[in-house]
Amino acid sequence: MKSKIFFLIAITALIIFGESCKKSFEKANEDPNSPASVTPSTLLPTVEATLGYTQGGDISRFSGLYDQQLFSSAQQTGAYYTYIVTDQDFDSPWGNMYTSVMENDKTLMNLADSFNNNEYSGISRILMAYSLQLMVDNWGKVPYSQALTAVNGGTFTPKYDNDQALYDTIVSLINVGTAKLSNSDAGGLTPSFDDAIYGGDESEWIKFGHAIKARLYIHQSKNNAAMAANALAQLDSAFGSNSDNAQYIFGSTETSAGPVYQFDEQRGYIDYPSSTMAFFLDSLSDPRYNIYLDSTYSDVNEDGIGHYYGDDTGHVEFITYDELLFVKAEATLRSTGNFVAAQTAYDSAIYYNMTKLGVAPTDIATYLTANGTLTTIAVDSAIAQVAFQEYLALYSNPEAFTLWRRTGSPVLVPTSGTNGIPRRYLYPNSEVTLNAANTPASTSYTPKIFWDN
Amino acid sequence: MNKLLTLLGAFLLLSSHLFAQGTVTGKVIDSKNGTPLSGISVKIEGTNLGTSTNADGSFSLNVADSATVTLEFSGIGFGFKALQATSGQDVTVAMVQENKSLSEVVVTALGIKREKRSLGYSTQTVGVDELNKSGTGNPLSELEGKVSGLTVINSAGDPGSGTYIRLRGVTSLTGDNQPLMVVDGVPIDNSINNFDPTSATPNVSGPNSNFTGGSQPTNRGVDLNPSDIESITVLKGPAATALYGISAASGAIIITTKKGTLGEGKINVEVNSSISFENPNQLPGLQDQYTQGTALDPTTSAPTFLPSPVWIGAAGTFGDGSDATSPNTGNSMGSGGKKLSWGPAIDTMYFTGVPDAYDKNGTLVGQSSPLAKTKAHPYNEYDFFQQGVTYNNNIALSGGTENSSYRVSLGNLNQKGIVPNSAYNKTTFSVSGQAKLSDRLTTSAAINFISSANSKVQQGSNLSGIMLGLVRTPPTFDNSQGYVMPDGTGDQRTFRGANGPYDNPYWTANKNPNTSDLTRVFGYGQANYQLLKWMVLSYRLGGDFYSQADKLVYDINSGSFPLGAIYLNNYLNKQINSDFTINMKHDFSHELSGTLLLGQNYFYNQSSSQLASGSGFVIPGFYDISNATSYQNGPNTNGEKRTMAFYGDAELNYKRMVYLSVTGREEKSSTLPISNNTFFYPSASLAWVFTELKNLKDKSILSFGKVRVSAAQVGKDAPIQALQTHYLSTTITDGFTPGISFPVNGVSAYNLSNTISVIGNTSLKPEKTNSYEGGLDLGFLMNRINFSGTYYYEKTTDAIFTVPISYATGFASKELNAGVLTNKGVELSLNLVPIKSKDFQWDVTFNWSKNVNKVVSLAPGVSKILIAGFTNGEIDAIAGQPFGIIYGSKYVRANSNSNTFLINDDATSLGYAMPIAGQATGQIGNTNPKFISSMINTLVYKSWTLGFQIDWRHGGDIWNGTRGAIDYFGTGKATENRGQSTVFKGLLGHLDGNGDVVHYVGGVEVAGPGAANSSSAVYNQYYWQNIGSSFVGPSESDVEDGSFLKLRQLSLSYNLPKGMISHAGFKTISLTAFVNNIILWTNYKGVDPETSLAGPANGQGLDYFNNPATKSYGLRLNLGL
Repeated sequence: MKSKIFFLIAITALIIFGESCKKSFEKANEDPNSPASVTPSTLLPTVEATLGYTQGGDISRFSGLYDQQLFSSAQQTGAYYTYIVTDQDFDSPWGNMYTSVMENDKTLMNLADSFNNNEYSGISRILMAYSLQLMVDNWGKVPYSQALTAVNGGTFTPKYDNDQALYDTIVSLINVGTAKLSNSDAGGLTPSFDDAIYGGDESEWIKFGHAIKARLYIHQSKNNAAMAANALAQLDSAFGSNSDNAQYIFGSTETSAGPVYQFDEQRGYIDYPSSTMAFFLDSLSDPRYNIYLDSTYSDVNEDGIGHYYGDDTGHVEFITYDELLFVKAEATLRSTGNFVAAQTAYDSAIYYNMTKLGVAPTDIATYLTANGTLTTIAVDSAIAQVAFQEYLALYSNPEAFTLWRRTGSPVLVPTSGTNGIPRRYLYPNSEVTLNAANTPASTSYTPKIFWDN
Repeated sequence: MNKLLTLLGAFLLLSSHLFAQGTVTGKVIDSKNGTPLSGISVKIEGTNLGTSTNADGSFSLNVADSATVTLEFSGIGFGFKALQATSGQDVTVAMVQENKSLSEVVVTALGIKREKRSLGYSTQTVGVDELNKSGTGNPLSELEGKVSGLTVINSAGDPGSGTYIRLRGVTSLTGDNQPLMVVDGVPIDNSINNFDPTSATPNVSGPNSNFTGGSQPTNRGVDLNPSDIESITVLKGPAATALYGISAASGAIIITTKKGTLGEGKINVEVNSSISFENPNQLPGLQDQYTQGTALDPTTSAPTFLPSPVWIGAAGTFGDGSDATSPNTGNSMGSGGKKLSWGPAIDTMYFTGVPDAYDKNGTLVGQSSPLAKTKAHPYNEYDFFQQGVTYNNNIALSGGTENSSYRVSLGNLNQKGIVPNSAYNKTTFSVSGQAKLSDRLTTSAAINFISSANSKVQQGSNLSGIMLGLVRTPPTFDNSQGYVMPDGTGDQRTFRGANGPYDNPYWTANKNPNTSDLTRVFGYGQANYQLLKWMVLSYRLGGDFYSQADKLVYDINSGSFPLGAIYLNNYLNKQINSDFTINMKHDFSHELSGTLLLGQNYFYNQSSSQLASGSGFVIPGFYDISNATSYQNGPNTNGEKRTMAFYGDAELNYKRMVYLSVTGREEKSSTLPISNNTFFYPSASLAWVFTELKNLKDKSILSFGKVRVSAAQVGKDAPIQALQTHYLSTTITDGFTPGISFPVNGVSAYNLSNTISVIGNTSLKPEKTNSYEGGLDLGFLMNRINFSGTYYYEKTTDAIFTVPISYATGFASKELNAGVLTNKGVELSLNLVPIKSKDFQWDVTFNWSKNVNKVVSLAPGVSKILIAGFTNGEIDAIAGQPFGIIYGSKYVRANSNSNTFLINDDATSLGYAMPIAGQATGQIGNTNPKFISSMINTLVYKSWTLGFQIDWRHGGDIWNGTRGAIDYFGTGKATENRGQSTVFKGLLGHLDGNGDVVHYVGGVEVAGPGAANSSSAVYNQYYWQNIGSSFVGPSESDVEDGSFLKLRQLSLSYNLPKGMISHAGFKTISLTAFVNNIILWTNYKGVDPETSLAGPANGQGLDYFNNPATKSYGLRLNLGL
């Protein structure tokens, strides 16, 4: 009897486990916390938010410390400010751009293309174009043609594409993107609330595409009037008011707060009012001083960045209308030389920037009276004046670093050493160690991007 | 196993009464003192006939009338003896007690008991006496130093913190390298479940986690109660564990619990109680000579790095002297100055005597200030630590009748840590029993309940970390004067003003409660059935289930989450293990016998973690998720794994001289692709006890000698869910911030990739380790000297790991079979009994081991992978180097092939005449010790026992990031040299715009380095912040040698004489006084070098604001009734 009990138990157990085994071996390895497939509307917010976070965080920080919109004497950022950087410091922005932003954007693009969701197809290309522009302007040669393919069996060591050629790639991305956006009614799903930048308004995305192109052309316009004219041409189809601005606004919870806020809350190494830019603003009695910088803002931002950029719901701006007006002023000076048109653009650029920031109209008027007139008809000097005001307007935007590199305005004194101010970011350690054969050899920050002449 | 079968056989025989022709009777006694020995096996040579002795040592055997037979006596701890006897004879046999290390029966894989002499591989057993010495109630930390080849690292002195254990070297690059833990034949979970919201990768639990902040992670192996453990056998290599399969590829820790014994018929009561007191044993050195502040530029008030500090304001005043409310928080200096301790010398400063929120003595001013009243003095920040106290109480009842036995135990460990409000309270309850239901059927079962509550301590790179806030505090600020501002705002009082952001350690201790509550049940049921005389069937079903509920709270105004945050994480783990085995034995002749085991195993594990978090508290001090204004669920994880296996183990025993054992296991794992999920691994071992040879036998000089060799191949499966690429709820982080996780503004989103995502691989195959081992065991002078030495070589191929790939591919990594690792090493142990007399015995054991690990290759194009750490202090696996290399930035060298520093010859540079912080990174340290060794002494004099253990670790670098940071902030002891000048050794030069070495000749750059430096430089703030410490400067500057020599344990026990206590009904009463970690010799400048930021994870060798370890002293009382 007892022996039967023993066998009964043992055999039952074996059967239970043996049987359940067979059925469940295949299922055991599935991840119930991961959806098998996603929709464009769940990928688009990812791309926009991660782009906003990466630009507004790491990239704006490096650019701001290099172009002296920011100041730090503390810890890592203090070292960056004096150009003590290692290649490891650039792993984070590079990695986030390629993985969180561009890989997810490419996934979105492939998904939207496969279902002919034209609007998502178009948006994904505009976002890819913008991201690639950010990469090229800060690093120069970067991988693209062979990049973002590993998940489908592509190479682990993508080659680096020529930076000038990548500008052409960006243009064609925009061209295809705007074409798809123009034909968005033809294709299925369309974005709405999942598009935090434009709420699914395809006409705004088309304008954004033209704005990026205007940027690309103005970058190449030094000693090249044709490029300046190209930029001007794009501006006609780009933004026409502050409501067109391409920007991302984060949330008010700890897990959705913007990158500047989070940095100041967690780290607080940046001493905003001590920057060169703050001295410029101060010397001009610029009303934006108390908007950009807020010494009374003591909640967590003890070092005094203002609400507009420093709040949890602070702005991360990609391209704004006022920047395009500055581009217009510069492009006009470089191409047609129409001084009056340039003056108008310059004046309104400052006006729209201050309006955007909420400067009181009387303060704007006062400021424009003092600073709103181009003081010379000498093109180079006038461009320097435009660029200086544009630099003041592009607070927190990495485009300011590009602006300084290509115009030399404002005049900045290197904070350390004899090698000058960095002209680019270092290739990250991950590339040096994992893509050694392709990564350009220089570990220095002095070689220039192709347009930086 | 042989013995067990023999015993079972004997029982059968007794009950059957088949051959009743005549008898041989007798008695077996201990040769030493004549006491009767029970349980000695008595067997008639060349037959299966036998019995075992009763409680009074007597036995009776049926033999053929007037036959003369040879009786073979053997017993655990008494070796073997043969004797001729004739029917009707009554014999007395004196058995010689063998040295236990050579004769002991050890529990091997699957609970199989084998005589140690028969093993062809290396094991070491730690007995009951060794397992309760420290009073910590942590069975894993009790193993420290006691087993050669076993690395044990206690992460910190925090109550309930983890203990990292590893056998031999690392065989798995990103998988688990901790050995399998088995209790009474059933594998139990030893995983790490931890959530660290302050790390970049907060929810990556497990062996490859990179916890840099949060609280000290715990591995669940610490749940066991050492008082319930009879012995721990450590199976060191694959040959020993091949029967366990994949789960034991890193060795196994086989734990046998205490049980009641059959036949005693009365109740035994065992009580042990201890109390001990703990204090930090080593802390980083802090300076006590300079105040908070920074050198200021007198023209702009901006912080600067002047060679000698200049203070603005009236001569001798501090700061601008006008800020009367909080000048010693440096409010006038901007954030750059507040956090630093680069101010004037304290002995030049005075208190104003007007109490304020920051100091009851008032503000600091210079001596010439009219406000100066009393001379300033530093505070001791380490007054923060309190004396910890641990109560460890255990009671157990056991007993048994002829056919059944039981043991019931209750234990409680109650620990109050050295950090205020840290605590660990663990209650264990276990019941075990066995019953002989018939002559053929025996059953046994045990169940263990564990309930623990742990109040943990914030640590590491974490604004709320205890040490981070504490050691950055300037010596002129007293944290203990309150952690809340006295103004009623609820703001936090810190040395940087209200609300930090570095938390006042008292704030952390009171306002950042971090608790972990565990409920766990594990146990087994087993039945053995003697089907035939030579065949026993066994079935064992075991389970391990627990729920761990963690709650992390950051009150409003905490540094990490100023708005307040709460994280509730529930971990559930279920695991079931089933083994069906058939045990067979056969005597081929009287010289050759064999056993064969066949078995089937099924294993199932399911684990999950459910996270709910909230942020934005409404009411301060109310730690409930309802108090949050925003909520988030997830990320949650669910994992499942199943394996099924068939296995076999055959052993041949020739004359108790040659033992050959062969095992094989075929396993199928759910983590591998279906097409490739079954794999086989074999092992073979041979043991030759050459002292059994006729002319070597029974020699007194070489009394025992054995040579053993083994080879094994073991495999490892893939991590769970490694085949697919996963869409997950979107998260992004950067190097500085926790980042965002969706939903954002009410919108949900998924990502396929981010900087930690992995491309799955549907063509993974098992990873394989081939292992070869040889050893020699020798006993001299009747085993007064015992030596055991083992050499092993292991090679892991097709190592499955998460291979990092260029981010430009769109992903951070891919699961691949790629790496090759080798480990080779030597393990030696020597046991001596230098003195052995009637009243006095001295036992000493030396353990020594050395492992040489090499990461032969990673994946194509991959030269290193990150295991843990920060950009300025990484622990990496680098091809061609041992696992666990410290990697980071270096000083610029004058030539690429020399180690000579380049000394800055740019006179305009702040770093003139100093070494140059380089941009390039490289290998800067090796965390692997050259060897680890220990000496364990036991001296018994009459009723007194003195024991002590000294551990020596030679080599093993540690990145002392704590020192780097405090030197940067100016609180480090080393920075007291500020103002002193020195001439740095090296060649003059600097780097040009292309990064090439050049030097100035008359203001012109010339290629290459120049002459030797002879200019002096001053150890100033600039030097310590940018050149001399790794906080911003070269990581290389803070790599330190972690060698140490430590008096781990010292104890003195007194056993009350039997005569004195027996009339009161006691069997034993002993009283022990003990101290732990009381002396530490080390050049390491941080906390105790046995420390680990990542806790029990693979990335060892990091110290970044690690919490200190403890030394302790205490008393223990053992009672036996």
